[in-house]
Amino acid sequence: MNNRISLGQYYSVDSVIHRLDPRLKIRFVLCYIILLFIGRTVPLFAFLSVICALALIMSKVPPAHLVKGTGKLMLIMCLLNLVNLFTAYGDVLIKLGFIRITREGAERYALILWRFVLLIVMASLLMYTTLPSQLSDGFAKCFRLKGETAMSVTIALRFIPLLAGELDSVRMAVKSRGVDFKSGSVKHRLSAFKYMAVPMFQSAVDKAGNLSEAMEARCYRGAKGRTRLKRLAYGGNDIVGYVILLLVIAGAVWIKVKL
Amino acid sequence: MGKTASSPIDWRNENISMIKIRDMAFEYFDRDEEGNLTEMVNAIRGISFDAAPGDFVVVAGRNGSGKSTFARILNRMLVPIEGKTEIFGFDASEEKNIYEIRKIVGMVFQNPEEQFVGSIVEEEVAFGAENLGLPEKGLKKRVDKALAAVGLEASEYAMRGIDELSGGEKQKVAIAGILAMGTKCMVLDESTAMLDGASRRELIMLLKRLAKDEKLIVILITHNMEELTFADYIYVMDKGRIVLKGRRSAVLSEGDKLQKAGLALPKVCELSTRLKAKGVIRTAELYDIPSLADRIMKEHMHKFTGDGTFPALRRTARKVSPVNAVIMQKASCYYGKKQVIKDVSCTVAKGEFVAVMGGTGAGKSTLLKAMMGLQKAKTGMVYVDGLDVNDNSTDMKTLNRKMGYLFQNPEQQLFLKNVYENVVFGPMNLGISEVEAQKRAYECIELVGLPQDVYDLPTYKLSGGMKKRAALAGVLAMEPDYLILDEPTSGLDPEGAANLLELINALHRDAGITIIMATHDVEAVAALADKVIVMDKGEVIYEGRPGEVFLEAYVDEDGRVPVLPAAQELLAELRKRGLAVNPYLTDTDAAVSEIAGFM
Repeated sequence: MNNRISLGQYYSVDSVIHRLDPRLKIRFVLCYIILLFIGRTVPLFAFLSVICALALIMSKVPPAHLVKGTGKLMLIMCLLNLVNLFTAYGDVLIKLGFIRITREGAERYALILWRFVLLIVMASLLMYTTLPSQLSDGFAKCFRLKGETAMSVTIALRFIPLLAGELDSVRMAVKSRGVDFKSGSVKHRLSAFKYMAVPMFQSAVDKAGNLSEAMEARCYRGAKGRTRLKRLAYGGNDIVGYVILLLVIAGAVWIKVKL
Repeated sequence: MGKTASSPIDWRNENISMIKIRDMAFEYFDRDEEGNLTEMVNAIRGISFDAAPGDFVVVAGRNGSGKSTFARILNRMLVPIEGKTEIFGFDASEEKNIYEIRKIVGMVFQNPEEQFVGSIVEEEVAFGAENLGLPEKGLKKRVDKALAAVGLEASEYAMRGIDELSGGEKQKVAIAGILAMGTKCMVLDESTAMLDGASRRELIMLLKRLAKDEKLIVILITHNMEELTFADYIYVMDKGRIVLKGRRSAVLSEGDKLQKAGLALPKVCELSTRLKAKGVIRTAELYDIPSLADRIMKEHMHKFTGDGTFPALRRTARKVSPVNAVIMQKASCYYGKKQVIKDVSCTVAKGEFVAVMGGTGAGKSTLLKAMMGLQKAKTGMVYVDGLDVNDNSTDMKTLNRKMGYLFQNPEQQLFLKNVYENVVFGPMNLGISEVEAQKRAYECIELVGLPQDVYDLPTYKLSGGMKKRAALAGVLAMEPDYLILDEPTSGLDPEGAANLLELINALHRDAGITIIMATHDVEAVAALADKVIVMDKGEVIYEGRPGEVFLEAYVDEDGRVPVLPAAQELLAELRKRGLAVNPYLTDTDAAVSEIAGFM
């Protein structure tokens, strides 16, 4: 029901990216993230931005949906990153009392923020375009995890929207009894949240209990002996995908070395 | 096995029974922190039960009667400690038979949301079959077949996200998941409890069809009395024992015994019994409204002289003063991108008892939350006594003083240690004196009918019904003018629901509190509400007096909610057949005298 916390929410639409094998998508995103950290230069980030934009267009996930889901996280990154803006030495651009912004600081701030935006967008794209079960299957295969671990990941991803809805409800229940989340001191506002802990914990435990009962009732007894409706299998598109991945790596390394 | 004196099945041939349970018992002890046995809970005893392929069996009983424990023994989630429990030839007390039994007996739970593993339909339906290690080659076919059997075409539904489905569809997916495993028996533990009247009926008809066509044993655990009328066989449990059992006709003629077990006679049986007593019909063995109407017509053919049309639909509206009302004007609310209520306009005048009805996902809860400003309307206006709810400068404390909200799940509202602390919490936040807050808390705990000794009881020790009452006490302690209740009787048995409704009605009648209540219970709406608002897909489709709205929905026949109260449905069916009765009546007494008046 609730889309405000969209982490782990599959965006249901048919696109080339949606149809790719999750193993390819996971490896692609991991390599992409490593490339983001091999250097901090404008040409490299520009190149990676183009890749990111192409992926976004091909995925058919509306940018507005992406911003809605990741906006808060991006804002947090903007704020955390302020340390870089205020602490660098160099040519002073603006000076306001004890606040001093240098050219080096501003550049560093912009580049690090750029890096995080790309990282968040690509990681969310992976989530939006891959079903939780496929994602956990993919992770299990890529990192040679046990079947039970993959199942736990699937369930954890499935629980995120459920608990998000619950959180909303509990917040309203607390609010309806006269607790104010929006005014007063920071300490007061934080203390309002403590009332949500008990019902949330209770509900998480109940939900977990109910689900494990339902799984047991349907003969779940570990990954051993399970068959799968859909086994991961590579198709033609995936081979093209791996070729593109190699080209992207080569391109990024070339840019890093030459430019 | 020969028939003995203690044989439970003198009413059927036991040789065809595939679930043979004789004198079975189960008990479960609660231990305190030191590990000492404290109390025995969930105990069931002396249970004898039979069911054969093709049977649609209903197990009914009040909350805590042991019916869910019984369900869990059927698919070997719990192990019986005494007696014989043989399920399709497998002895349930033997460890090695666990998975054989679970393979044969599938289980559907109450809350569909909490039993799903997959995020899309196809994945979810395949889960059980995958666990059984069924060959991958035919798996997709199996899933599609199971989906088709529950009426969800695979081409349309297989790739749908579970979260997009309505409550009824979710339960159908859960049933398909069981069918795909190739089970022979299906146990549904209150699986209809969270559905609206129309989806409930649809699901029951599906279950009946599956029992017949697929030769399944379907065992439905419920405390909804209407569902008893669909059963082939009924078992009634109370205090861990089976107190009544037999064919439908035998059990439904025992109104007193049902009442003693905390249940009630289904409305249609009440009607037929009373009509028989009045001499209108000669038999009371009629279990649905159309057959009852047919029977009356058969016995009194010459009275059916009308043309079968309905009187012009009437709508009585009342003038409302804006400073004494909740008014919504073209309000729309969104969750993320999704519009949950669309351009809703409605009014609740001070002093009214208003019911909000509609299927799951129709937007009822959102409407209620928007009235209190818990959910902000993105467009449109919401006023409470002239206060703009969506204006950020409106003091929330004033609004909190005016409106109380009882959430569907009382646990969300009980966030402190014990009952007293939870009740005193609200008034303390309003900034009144501690002494006054305490006084209010004690008064309200008494008012909702909780015993004195619960004051310092931790809330998790309370039963479902008591939790609702404790949460309600907490809301009432804030002395609201408007009381919003989100499905207050969901999960309660007939007795518990009737008691709570009586309390709500008393708050309205004696304390003058305006009631706004979301519910699926048409009978309660007909009996108590001044006005009903019916929602569908986020829009208000009907608004008016219950009798008038229900009739209009019946005449429209568009298949949208709600189902009529039994008495009114009978009058409408008679009217359609040509008897000129007044179709606006909703009350059983009034309907019986109306019909008797024509004979």
